[in-house]
Amino acid sequence: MTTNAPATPHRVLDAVNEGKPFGAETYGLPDVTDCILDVDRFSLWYGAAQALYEVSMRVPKGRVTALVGPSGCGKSTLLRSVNRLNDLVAGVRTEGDMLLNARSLYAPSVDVIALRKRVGMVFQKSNPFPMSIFENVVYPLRIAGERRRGVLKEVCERSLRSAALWDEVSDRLSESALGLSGGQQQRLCIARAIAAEPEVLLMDEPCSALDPIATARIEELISEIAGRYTVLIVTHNMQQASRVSDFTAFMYLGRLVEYGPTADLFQTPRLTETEEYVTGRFG
Amino acid sequence: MSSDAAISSRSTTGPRSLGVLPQWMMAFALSVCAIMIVGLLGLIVAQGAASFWPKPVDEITLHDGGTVLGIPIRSGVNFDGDPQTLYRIGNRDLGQIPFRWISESEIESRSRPSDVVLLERREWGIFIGRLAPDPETGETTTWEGFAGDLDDGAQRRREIDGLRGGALARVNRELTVNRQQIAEADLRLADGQRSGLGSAPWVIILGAGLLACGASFLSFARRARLRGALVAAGGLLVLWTALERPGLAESELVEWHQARVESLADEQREIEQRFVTLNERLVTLEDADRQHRVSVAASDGTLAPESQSATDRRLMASQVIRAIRPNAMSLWDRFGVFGSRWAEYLIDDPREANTEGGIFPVIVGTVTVTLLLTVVVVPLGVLAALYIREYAKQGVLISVLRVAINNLAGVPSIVYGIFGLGFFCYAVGGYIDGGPDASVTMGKAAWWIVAIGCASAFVSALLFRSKVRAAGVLWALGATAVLVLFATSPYFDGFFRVKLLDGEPTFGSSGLLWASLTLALLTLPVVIVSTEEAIAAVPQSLREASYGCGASRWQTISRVVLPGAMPGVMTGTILAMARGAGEVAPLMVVGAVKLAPELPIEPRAPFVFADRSFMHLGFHIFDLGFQSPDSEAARGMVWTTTLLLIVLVVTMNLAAIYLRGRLRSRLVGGHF
Ligand SMILES: Nc1ncnc2c1ncn2[C@@H]1O[C@H](COP(=O)(O)OP(=O)(O)OP(=O)(O)O)[C@@H](O)[C@H]1O
Ligand SMILES: [Mg+2]
Repeated sequence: MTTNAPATPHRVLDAVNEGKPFGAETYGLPDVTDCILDVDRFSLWYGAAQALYEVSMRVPKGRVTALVGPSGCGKSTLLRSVNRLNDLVAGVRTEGDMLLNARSLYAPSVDVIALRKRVGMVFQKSNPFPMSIFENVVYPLRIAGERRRGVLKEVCERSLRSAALWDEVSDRLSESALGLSGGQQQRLCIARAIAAEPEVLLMDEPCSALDPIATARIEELISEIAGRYTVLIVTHNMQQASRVSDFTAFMYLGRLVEYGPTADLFQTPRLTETEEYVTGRFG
Repeated sequence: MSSDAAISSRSTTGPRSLGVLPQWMMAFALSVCAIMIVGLLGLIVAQGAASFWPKPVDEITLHDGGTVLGIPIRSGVNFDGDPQTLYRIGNRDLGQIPFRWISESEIESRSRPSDVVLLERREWGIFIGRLAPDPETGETTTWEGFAGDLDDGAQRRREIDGLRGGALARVNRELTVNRQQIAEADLRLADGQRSGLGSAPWVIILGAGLLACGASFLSFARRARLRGALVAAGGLLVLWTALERPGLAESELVEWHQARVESLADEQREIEQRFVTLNERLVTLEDADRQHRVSVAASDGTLAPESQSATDRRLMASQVIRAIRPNAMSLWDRFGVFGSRWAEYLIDDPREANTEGGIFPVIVGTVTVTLLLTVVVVPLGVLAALYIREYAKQGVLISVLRVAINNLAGVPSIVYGIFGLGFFCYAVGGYIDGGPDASVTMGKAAWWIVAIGCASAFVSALLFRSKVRAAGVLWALGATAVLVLFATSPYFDGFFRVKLLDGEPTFGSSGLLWASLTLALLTLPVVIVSTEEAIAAVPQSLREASYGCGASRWQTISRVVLPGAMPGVMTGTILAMARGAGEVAPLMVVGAVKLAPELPIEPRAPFVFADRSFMHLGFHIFDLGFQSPDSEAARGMVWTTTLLLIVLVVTMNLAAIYLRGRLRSRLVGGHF
């Protein structure tokens, strides 16, 4: 596939080609007790096509974990499986399980709606509702039945401050959210996602449609909120991953391949595929 | 090189010549369309507006010595090739045909004398003539005096009409109700001895069903207090209805019947007393009115009569609606008459087989039926579209359904009309009037067995909602069973049985409600299709955002999908309204009539009289143009009514487009 032959063999690629199982290279993670999310041999099919192959990974609590990997390797799929957004897609089938705080997410008794309130999500393309800025931010509270104006206002301000948007929009809260710039819209979506005080915040390439300045703001924001929330972020930008994340997982062909502390994974990757990817030689 | 040149030459000449032709063809097609539309609209506007303009009257002296007074309408050529003119000469009650072609060769001379008077009358159409001396006094009134007489006459007429349409009509209604109450009491006596039950259980079942539906729908809302209040109100209503028809023991029933009939008879005597008093007053007023007559003579000197059969009596002042001197009017006067004719047209009842007077009841009928159809079709269509898009599993069944809905839009509208007549009017309406047909009524024992089976099926479906796989099938079966129970109940004998036995169906014949439902059915595909498209156009990312915040499906639909689809819903509503307002064929069968004696809405309870027949603009145009005894006389009305219908539809469209635009701008936001 590349002209200059690699020094070490492609273990993953070979295993996949030969149809053999292989264990992901995982190292340097905190104790199970410090992990909020535990993915346990999770597989997913879109109809007949398998998108995830027995992914097992633990996500440390209160830290930022980045998911990287070439396009189509299943990062979004994995992310959307955490808040069960894939339930909306017709023909999705799963195997294995995920545990949030040691509680199964895929047991039949799980209240999916309650789950989604605990797991916020920010999408690649900002998707504010065609409502006022205020209504956008308090949407999670509204659907939970909160009607007290005072509470709504307070949450709105707190969330917008957390999302570093308050100063820009505090005097136009009743205007349409669609009048904001792209970067502001994305921060608004972040504010909306954290308004409900989720335990885990899922971010799917939140900066891919933004300019460098807006990206920097959001990266700052992620670092700021990292202590309070557990962040699971998908990114294509290696610099970004190394800047914001504590841990990085490299996915490839629907499998988790290498997972460890960000610094280690970027500086001393253990697998050839990882090295080639993080140094930009393929992907 | 040479092949290059060939290619380039082909690419410059070939496509260019072909490129101009399609463009020309498109431009041509567009201009043809534009000319047709503008032409049609222009014609309708011009003709519609002009038909109320007061035109001058010619006095024609013929070679044979006779004179004719007439309004020139249009010119043509007769069989001999002579030019001729159509004159409106009126005076129908003098035995004249009101329109007459006069060829130039017959005419000696023409003039426009300023003393010609044109009368618009309540009956017998227009009268053209001159003020004449009163045969008793021999004096001729001045124009001003004449106008004063007419004003007094109009005043008297208003008084008489007010009495007849107000107090007298009310007394008449009371009498009818009283008569029906007596008949009902008799019927109850007969019924009571047979079953002793009446309609009470039926009312209870119906009420409970409605309550259950309402409660389960309201459970979406969190307003427990509102729900409680509604349930309580519904319960009270049901109780009240049930108590209205108590089941009585036999001896009690006989006693009750006697007492009731006696009190009703007393009431009847009292009402009749009032009727006599009122009637006396009416007779007095009419006698007084008959004393005031006016003298207007036709060109041959005959005085305008009271009616064709009473030519010896002169025209009464109160019979004239408007008198003008068409040849002695300033432009200002003409505008005044023009305006007052339009006002009469818009707020009066029709006269003379609809060819004169106003079309107020037609407008009211059209607006009412359109609003009712909208109220029915929009919720139905939106809910159906929501189910198809947001709930149903997209599969073969849904595709088939979608094709079926699209095809429904292509079914000729008369088919809907016939369906409406057969199903709504005869089946459903007949059922409401007189209960299930004797041939389908179940035995009581069988009915209770089915009812209990059905109730247990419902309860189990409710209890094991999550466990039963085919819950949908169960629901469908249950609903069918309930319908069958309703349709075959031995306990229900109709809400309007008394009137029915009187030979007067209430809902069992065509009327406003059934017409609206038929039109709703007809326009349902439009609403479903446009709503569905709008729902599909709501970005999936917004749905995901909502679900991602922990919203339930219903919350997502009601807060994100439906508001986002609102412009599309509006479009569907507009199209449905415009189509419903302009439809004719189905209405001819299910409720529109040539002349409705009463308006379908009245300022007294229940305000909307859903069983009444009504008048409708589209049908009115058809009726005027093709069914009226004198199509020439109806010509002007056809134009104005067409104009009005178009104005109505265009106004509705504009209003809805404006609303949609506002909604859209709210959704899209100001700037980026
Ligand atoms: N709704 C869907 N239906 C069918 N297949 C899907 C669907 N969504 C994703 N897939 C497939 O699943 C695989 C993983 O997709 P996923 O979106 O998770 O990739 P990704 O890693 O997020 O890629 P990218 O970096 O380009 O966003 C792909 O092969 C994709 O084609
Ligand atoms: Mg993705």
